[in-house]
Amino acid sequence: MAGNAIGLGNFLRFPRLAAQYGGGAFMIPYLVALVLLGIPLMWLEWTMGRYGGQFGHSTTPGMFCHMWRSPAAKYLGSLGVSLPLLFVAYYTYIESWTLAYSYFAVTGQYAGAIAVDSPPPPSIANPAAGAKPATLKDPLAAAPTNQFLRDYQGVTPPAERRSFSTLLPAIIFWLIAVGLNCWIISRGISGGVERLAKVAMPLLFLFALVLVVRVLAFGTPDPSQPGRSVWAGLNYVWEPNFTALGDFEVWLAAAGQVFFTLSIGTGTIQCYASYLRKDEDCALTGLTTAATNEFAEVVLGGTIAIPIAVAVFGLAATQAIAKQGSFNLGFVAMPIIFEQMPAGFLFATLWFLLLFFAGITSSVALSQPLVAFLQDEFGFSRRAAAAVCGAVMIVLGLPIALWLKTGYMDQYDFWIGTVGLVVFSLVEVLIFAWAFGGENMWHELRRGADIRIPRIFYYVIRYVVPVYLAILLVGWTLQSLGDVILLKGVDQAYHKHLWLARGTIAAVMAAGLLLVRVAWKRRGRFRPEELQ
Amino acid sequence: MTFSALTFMFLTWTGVTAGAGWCLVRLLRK
Repeated sequence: MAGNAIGLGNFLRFPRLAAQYGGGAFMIPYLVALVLLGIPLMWLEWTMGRYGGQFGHSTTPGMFCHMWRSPAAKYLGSLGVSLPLLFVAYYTYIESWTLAYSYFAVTGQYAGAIAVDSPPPPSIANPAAGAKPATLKDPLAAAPTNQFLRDYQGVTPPAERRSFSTLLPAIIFWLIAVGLNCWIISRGISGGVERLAKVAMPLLFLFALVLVVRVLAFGTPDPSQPGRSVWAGLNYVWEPNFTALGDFEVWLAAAGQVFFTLSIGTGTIQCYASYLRKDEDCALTGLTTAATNEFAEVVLGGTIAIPIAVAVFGLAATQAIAKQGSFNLGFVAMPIIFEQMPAGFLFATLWFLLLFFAGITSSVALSQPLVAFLQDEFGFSRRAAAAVCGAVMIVLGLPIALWLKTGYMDQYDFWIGTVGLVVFSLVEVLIFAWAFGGENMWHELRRGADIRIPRIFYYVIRYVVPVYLAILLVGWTLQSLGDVILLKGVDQAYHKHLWLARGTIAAVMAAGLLLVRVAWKRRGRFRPEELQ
Repeated sequence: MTFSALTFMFLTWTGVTAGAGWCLVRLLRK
């Protein structure tokens, strides 16, 4: 399960947010959200999955029916199938970049781009006297690795491309990533997913530890600038700043990160937990998943990208880079940093392979709900279900790859990766902790538990978690009201693409509802109350 | 690094690492 939880968010999104929101100022709300939101939801999803598994359901449509006897339950549960499918459609494309960059690091392709092109702007790589990187809006805009990434993504206008003339390499790597995912899924839970985790997770931790040691050994690369050191970076991440606790935006970002990093609200935890036996522990297993993920995120993820970026670019420039997003930090800044190290290609390869392993273990998990749904409710073989999943990933993913510059993927990231997951979590808390009954939920959670969960979490799950989720939902909606929801400031020429993205999302959700309706009409093998 | 940053980092790292280690050991001993 740690493979599901540990993903790109641990090594890209967490350090980016920590840098953007003031390091130590971010860590306090983050840890609060972990205890009040992350761990309770983790327990809730594990317990819900185990409970549903007793009735032969691996996905939430069937699970919800056993917790809430309402005709609406199964339709609300369809979100637990359509959301992860939409999520994996764009997640796999990002994952394919890490695979491609692993290849480019080994072959020296982007290193060639750095060598051929002009060096990074002097104010960033080696600032001139009096330069003020903090005032720069996008410090790496002119960096060759930025051009390389934009060429690879097909974002640069064709006439200005230097590294890639077409999108074909990106499409090929994406198809390889989709193929790998499908192949692993088709081999089943024990033969595919568990085997992947057994290989990928130790390698992921090994690569991360090697990178952490290398980062710490980097020290102060330029003794004439003692402010630019790994220790200054760590100091920035860990300096407690209690004045920032009054900033609502920091609390919002921290809670969001806890949410993403634990893969909550995707329906995948329930899917894996459904294979547990009736009295098998959920409390310790859920806590172990969260704790292992936090080790990978806080200890390893927090010690790689930001400290070394501060050592190379300086604190103010690192903050500015982080504000430009996770991809800027991971794919534009990190290659420049590795190029400055002896055997940099080796560490760059480890970095991108680390991201790839983190990505593929999560994408395989995100594919499970659809595969399990097709198997459970329509009697598909695992291979056929995996093939259908792969085909849908390609159909949904192709426009994402082709129209990246229009903001097509951002629509998915907002409606699915932000709003969708929170809405679904809110639904599952209300169903499990309220419709199912608070005491029933508490009894299920404690059954077979290897650790004693304090009673206070009963109240946290029933009252604090729904309020926290509602605040997140309102906060994010207000934050994104202008540019993402109302498309203010977005090029008019791209509006049709963005509406197509929204239409596709709505169509997939409608298809989920329809499939649930068809499945429930077909079934005769379950109890009559399920045939509502 | 300042003393407060070092302390905060040490406490969080120790807490997270010990927590993850304790959970894993208990899970594997089952």
